[in-house]
Amino acid sequence: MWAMTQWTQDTLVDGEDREAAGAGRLSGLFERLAVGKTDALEEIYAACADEVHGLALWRTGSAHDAADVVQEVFVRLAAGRARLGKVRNPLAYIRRMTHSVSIDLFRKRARRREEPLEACRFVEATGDSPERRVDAERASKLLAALPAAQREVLFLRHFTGCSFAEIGRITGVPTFTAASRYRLGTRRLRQLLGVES
Amino acid sequence: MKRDKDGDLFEGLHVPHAPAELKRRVLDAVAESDHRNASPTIWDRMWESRPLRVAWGLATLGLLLANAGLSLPTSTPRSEGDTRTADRRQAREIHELLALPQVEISPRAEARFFGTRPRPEPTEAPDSSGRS
Repeated sequence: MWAMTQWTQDTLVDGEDREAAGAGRLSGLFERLAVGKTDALEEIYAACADEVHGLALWRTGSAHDAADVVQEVFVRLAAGRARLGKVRNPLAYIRRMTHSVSIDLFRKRARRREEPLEACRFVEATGDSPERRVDAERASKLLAALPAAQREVLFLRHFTGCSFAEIGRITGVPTFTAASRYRLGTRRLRQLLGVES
Repeated sequence: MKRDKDGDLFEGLHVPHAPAELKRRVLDAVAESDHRNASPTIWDRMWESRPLRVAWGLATLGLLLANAGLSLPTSTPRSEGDTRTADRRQAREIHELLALPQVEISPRAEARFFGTRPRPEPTEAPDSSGRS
């Protein structure tokens, strides 16, 4: 699959080339959707759903809310399809939209949240190793202790390979703030893990 | 993409994929949203279309101005002389209507029509010259 997102550390090689190719194809899909070819939406979903879901999950801290964010993002994409032909960077557009919808939903549901953040699985183990599963559970608990904004920057930097400038544009903060959030987040995570930086 | 120097933090871990059943839910939601927005009413279209809104506003304004123009009194009131002339014209018309020409019916024609005996012919006044 040409999906741009890098879900494991082992698949980071040639990520830039794949991302460029994916962005080009995504632009084509956006143009097709803009002229009313709705089947393009399924391909866009196949390409971006995992990343949209991951970003929403790390931002909202809830699997239920993340699913709602994915739904809302694609409903908005379809509703505003006429404008998609003019979008220059479709992936950044989808990431910004995901961020925006996540914030809206998070604010709306913050007071009546049923699922505690500790229960959210932010990461899963690659493979069937029991030790990895324990690591994944521990990492999820530690990530739950981080502020949502720092978690979001960690996700964007670590799993999608965005630069701090791109992260700043997606989250609507200056590049310096994005970098600062990343630094604070990793430092805090290392402290919780007991790893020296 | 470069491997991040903090990559070891998540080594051997990955972010959960979107649930498989979510795709159907999303596509259904999109279809429902499309259906909801597919048939806007005339009011929706008017509200969303600038030219239609402008046209509606101009039409309303035109009707208001026309109504105001018809309701206002005329700016040049009729003078007393004009009124008197008009009254005289009306009186003359009424007089002409009342002064219809009289129809002379002869007694014989009248008797033939009604089937009665004819009235005696009116005697003509003797000519002042003495001829009958």
